[in-house]
Amino acid sequence: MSEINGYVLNGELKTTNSGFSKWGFAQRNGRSYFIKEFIDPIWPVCQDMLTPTMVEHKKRICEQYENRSRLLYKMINDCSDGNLVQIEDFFRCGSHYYLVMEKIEAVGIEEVRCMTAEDQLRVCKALVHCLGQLHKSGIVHADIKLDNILFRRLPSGKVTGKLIDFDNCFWERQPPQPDEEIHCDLVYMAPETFMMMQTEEGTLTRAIDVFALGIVFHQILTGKAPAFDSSKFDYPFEAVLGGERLEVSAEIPNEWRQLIERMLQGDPQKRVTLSEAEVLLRGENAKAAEYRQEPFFMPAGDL
Amino acid sequence: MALKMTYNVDMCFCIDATGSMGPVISTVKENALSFYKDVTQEMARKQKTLDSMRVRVIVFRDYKADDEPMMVTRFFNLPEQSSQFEACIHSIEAMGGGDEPEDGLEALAYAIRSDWTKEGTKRRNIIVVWTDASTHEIGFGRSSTKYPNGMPADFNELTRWWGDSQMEPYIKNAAKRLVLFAPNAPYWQQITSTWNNVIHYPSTAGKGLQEYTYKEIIDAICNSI
Repeated sequence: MSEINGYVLNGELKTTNSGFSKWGFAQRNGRSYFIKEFIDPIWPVCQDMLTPTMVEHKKRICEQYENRSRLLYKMINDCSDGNLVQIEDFFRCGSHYYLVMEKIEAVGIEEVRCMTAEDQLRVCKALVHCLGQLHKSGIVHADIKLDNILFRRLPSGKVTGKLIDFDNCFWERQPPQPDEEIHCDLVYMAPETFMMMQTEEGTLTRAIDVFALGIVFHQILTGKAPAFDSSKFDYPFEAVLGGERLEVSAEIPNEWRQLIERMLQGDPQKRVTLSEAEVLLRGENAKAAEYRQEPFFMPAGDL
Repeated sequence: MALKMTYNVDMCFCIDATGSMGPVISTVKENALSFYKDVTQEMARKQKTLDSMRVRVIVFRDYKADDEPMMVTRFFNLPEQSSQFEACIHSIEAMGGGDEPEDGLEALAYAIRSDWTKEGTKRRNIIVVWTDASTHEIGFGRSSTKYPNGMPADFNELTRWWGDSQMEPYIKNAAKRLVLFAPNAPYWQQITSTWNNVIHYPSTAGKGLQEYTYKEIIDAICNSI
């Protein structure tokens, strides 16, 4: 069986549902882990085939990536109060970088769909809280989607939701440049993300996560994304930009329906923040405005 | 301004067409006509819509040993040109090859320099290599009269052509993927451990990629889109 840095793989790493990495499961010291191999950047192992200039160029890219990743992952771990899946290890082995997280025995979305509305709403509340923790640290997840949420059964028998896959995270104070390609699932893409791709102008904020989470909530609570005219549009963000309102199902309890509508606002400035959402869900509407926050600290850069 | 996502996918298939490659070439031939449908169905399952799909083919063998060492096509627009694409695939004959390594790096050089689309909000430029052999160092066949001008001088220059996040002379870093169905052999191993955005599916040398089914190939391609 293959071994990477002491992690014994349970099988070949796969690319299923992952365009930017290979992944699988592994064992180390009697514990089970999820392990991911990144395909970019690549440390130049075959240095004799490259010029010294090329080797140095490639190493510099890797070192920048490594420094940024280590800092980001540390901040993600530090801001978690249990609802973010812990990043246990991040290292380079040979030419590739690897990330290791605890393996979680997940409950399938089908099972979540069969839960009572009250239990489903509890899962949604947990997701508001854990994504809110990231946002309070000034980190935008940037790839919120159903596939990046693990549903875990608690000892009480209840199910909760945990966020995974922090590959696309960025500090809100250091957003992607307008000419960078944004890697996110089109079903969950916020209108402003598309506009930035289209015009190469604008700035992305934590509001892109809120839009995506609104779609996820609709899927958890109804089994499908909010409705729009699919004869005219392929994706929810297109419908919003085309002037349509995404139709939030009447099956959803009123308080939550209103919240999801506010999460799916086309204008990111008008979209509810997760701090506000947490307060609203506690029924303390009056205090919601107090929770509008400025972006938090960012790491100090070079002088 | 159109407020609609356009997702354009270009693929370049680099096919080793030497003698032992019969099995995978037969598989590709059997499925060429349905390729567009198979990819778009899989993408629809992932709730993704492709606005355009173009495919070009590069057939490579060995400059020193073969009469037709490197054959290239333009891009076929699918599904409109599916029948031409199918006819092109059916015209490939597995033959020749000379010694064990082939000239796969020159095929990659042609592929990187493809006329990739510049249109679309989102683009994916995918090179897929099918081979069951190692590859000569670049320039090995330079003494052949068929060897083209303008090829990279060495592996370092080919590496620069492929580029990275800070250097993208011919292919956009964010858009590019290299899917390698190739043995753990020179220089495929070196590419996997030097170039970014490469997914390597190891094959058994000399077995014509018999270990991969058409479904696995489609899944590998769709996962890179």
